[in-house]
Amino acid sequence: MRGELSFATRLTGVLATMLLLGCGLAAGLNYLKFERMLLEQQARVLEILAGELGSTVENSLALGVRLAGVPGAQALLERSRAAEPLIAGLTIADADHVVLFDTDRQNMGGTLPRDHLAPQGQAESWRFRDGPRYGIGAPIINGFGQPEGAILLRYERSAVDERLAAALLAMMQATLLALAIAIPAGALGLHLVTRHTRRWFAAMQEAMQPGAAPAALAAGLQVAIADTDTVLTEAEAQLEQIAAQMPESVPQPMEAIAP
Amino acid sequence: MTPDRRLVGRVVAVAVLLLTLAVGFVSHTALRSFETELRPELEREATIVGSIGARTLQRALDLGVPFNGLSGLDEYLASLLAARQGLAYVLLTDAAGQRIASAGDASGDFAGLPAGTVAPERGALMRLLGGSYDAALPVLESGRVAGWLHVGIARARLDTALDDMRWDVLIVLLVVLLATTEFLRFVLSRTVAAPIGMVLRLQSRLAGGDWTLRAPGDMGAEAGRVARHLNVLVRRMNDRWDRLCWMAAQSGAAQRAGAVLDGVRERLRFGVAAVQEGLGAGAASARLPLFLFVFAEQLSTSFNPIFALELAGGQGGIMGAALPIVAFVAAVALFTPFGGAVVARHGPRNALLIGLLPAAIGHVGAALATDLTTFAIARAVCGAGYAIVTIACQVHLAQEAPQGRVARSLGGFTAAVMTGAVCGTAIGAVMADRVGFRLTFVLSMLLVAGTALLVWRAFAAGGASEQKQMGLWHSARAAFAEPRFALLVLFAAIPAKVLLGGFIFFLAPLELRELGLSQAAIGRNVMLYGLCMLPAILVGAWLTDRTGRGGLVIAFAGALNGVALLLPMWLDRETALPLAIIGTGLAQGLAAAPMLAIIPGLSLMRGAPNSAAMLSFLRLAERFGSVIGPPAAAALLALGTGQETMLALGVLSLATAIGYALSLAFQRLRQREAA
Repeated sequence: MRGELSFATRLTGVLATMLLLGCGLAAGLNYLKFERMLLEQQARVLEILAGELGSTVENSLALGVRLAGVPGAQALLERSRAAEPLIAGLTIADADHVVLFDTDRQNMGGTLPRDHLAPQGQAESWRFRDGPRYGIGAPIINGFGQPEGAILLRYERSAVDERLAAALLAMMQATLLALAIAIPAGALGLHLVTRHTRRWFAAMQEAMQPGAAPAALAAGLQVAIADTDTVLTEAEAQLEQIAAQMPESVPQPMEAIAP
Repeated sequence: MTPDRRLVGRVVAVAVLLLTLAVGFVSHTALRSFETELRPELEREATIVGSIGARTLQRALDLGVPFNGLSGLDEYLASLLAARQGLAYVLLTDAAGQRIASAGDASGDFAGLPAGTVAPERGALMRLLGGSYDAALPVLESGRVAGWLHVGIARARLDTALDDMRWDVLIVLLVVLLATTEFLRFVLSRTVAAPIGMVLRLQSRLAGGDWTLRAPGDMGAEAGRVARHLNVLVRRMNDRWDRLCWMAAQSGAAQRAGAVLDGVRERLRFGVAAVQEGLGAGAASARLPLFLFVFAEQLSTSFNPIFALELAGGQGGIMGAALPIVAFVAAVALFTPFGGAVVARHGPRNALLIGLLPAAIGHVGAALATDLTTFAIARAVCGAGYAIVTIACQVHLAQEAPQGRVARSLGGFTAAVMTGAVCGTAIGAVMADRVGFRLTFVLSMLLVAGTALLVWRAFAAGGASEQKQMGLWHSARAAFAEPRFALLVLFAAIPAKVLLGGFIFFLAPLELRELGLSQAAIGRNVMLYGLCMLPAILVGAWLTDRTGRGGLVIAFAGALNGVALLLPMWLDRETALPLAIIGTGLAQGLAAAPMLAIIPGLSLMRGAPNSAAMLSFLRLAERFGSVIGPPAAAALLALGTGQETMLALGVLSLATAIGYALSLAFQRLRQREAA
């Protein structure tokens, strides 16, 4: 309903909304930055591991072994996965994208999706998405500089999510605490700084009541009311005096002299 | 006695204090938890790199090579360091912590582990040494610790991220503070300042004996109660007057009673006026919608050319990068006269609602754009909306401004536009950095929708003009026939906007990106323009009023802008670019008020069109400058480097400023001769 809230309450509402927005933006934007940094950092670490595994396989290739026949490759993948809890899966595929070794053995012999692999001839590692999982690929290059295949490392963001949840909780607590203190403090502060104006409005209202006591804040209005009141009172007295005297003639209809 | 005039300042001070403390506290906690949570990840990276190196050394020792007999260590450690970015150092110590070999920049604080340190069962021993996280991995010989391989990860990466986040927090704080100030002003204006002004005006009329007035009944808060009491008071006095009239009719002495009533009529007037006393809050009420609209529009300022480049497919589309900016500004220029007609026909409120529609559609189009052409069309649609909305706000401010305060009211227009621009540019960059370009455009659309809701609720309908349109071509010829106006347009207005569009909106974001800055940092740098312009507008207006030499201020501003853009000649790009942005902001701010102030004087010249027409031609000329600025800069960039483009723009500004100063001097000389 319009007009029920005082202006100080409205100001407090605006301040509370902006406090919520400010704290929410600060927390939200920091959270998003934090999420990106953590995901990037996790990817950096796993990129090192993928690169190291790739180097190990390349060392075997240097001995003249074909990629499909690298001794202990399957064991290497399984050992690496067991050693690093972040790793969700490891795959070694040949240049035709056929899976040669995989920590999930039922994938062996299958073909990798094209979007998991980098363009032909890429010497740097790359990143890809596999549904909810993230992935890092590293090329396997033989001693002649020819690409033999790739090693793909898949991981989930559960570790990042745990850290994000911890950070989010800390930010939520801080936001709630800040709001719990700032909003009442704002209401009090605004109540104090607006009191003069509220008094002025109250004085104006009071001054317009019949028989109101003099108020300094509404002196101008009271003077105007008093002047008018005096004029009307004097006229009333004069008219009552006239009415008490003998009529000049037959009374005329009211419309004749009405304004 | 009037109510406290410093109310706005005090309310804003309370808001600023609490917002700063609250946002500061939340951000401090966020940054602390960020550091706490990221540190283990950095340590893990150091441990993994260390374990790779330690494994190789261990293999050598396991093959029987004695620890003291390891050779080529410096080269190996250097290769390990070079393979990974962000490593501060890799070094090998013996069991007593004495350095054997090292690569990288280990700080003076580095101290090896003391003899007898027990090797961890798994992983590394972690320490914070100076500015690096140090991971120490044991190298074993015959089952005993023979040495330690230390890998240091510089904290710089973390510190840079933390600094970036601190800047973003400051941006958020600045934007929230400015937006809060606008919202508080809006509420105070509608619930306090305007009602108090109205009550004082009514009080003045009552004191003059006018009891025919009525206060509007649709006000809220305390003002609504005062208005209702006032209407009751007026009704009560009118009832007393009606009673007097009845008494006079009943008195039976019409002449004497009539004389008494005439005596009252000489001093007082009664009756119910057909037109109520207006609230007069319109001028202030237009500020907030304008602020929000410009805020929404400017969210994309820092990344428009970058997004265009992405859509155009990289550097090959450097001219294409300027296309959306050109399309936007051209649409603004083309639709400005149309916007005036819409406002005249439908009134500011409906014109605003009409203008907000294409703006919202344009933002949606930009968010969904898949190629450069679609993006440019979407930006042009936004430009059409921008033209109508800004004209509608200007007209509304001028209509609602109290007599004799039109200039101050229009100053509020410039301030709202600049505040919105500063906030939008800054937070838009941060948003784009976090959620991407497309979602930022969606946010712009939501803000425009919010603005439409506010206009629909807060603006009074009406205000359509019955004024006959003057001949456009005739007015244009008359305006440009006045040499001082033509010189102002050619040597000041157009060059200023060429620099604004070419440098601030086009070249600066691209050059800052070339320096490797993040999107948020680019936005912060571009925002410097608006931040510097805000105080410069006040200084320019003050100088012009004080000295009466607006022309000189404009010429000085042009020269300042030119020098700022020539800074790459003397400074490196990292320093010169932000300084050039600051210089451009200061120069454009200084010239803004004098350019407007010159117009009323010129319109008084014989044969010149009226002030409004000359102002609209000045605006049109400025928009022409804004249209040619980005493609001109793009063409220069295609021919040379960013630095050379800046220098060319600087020379243009200096040359036109000198030309304008000389023309002023020539005019003064002629005036003296004539005198």
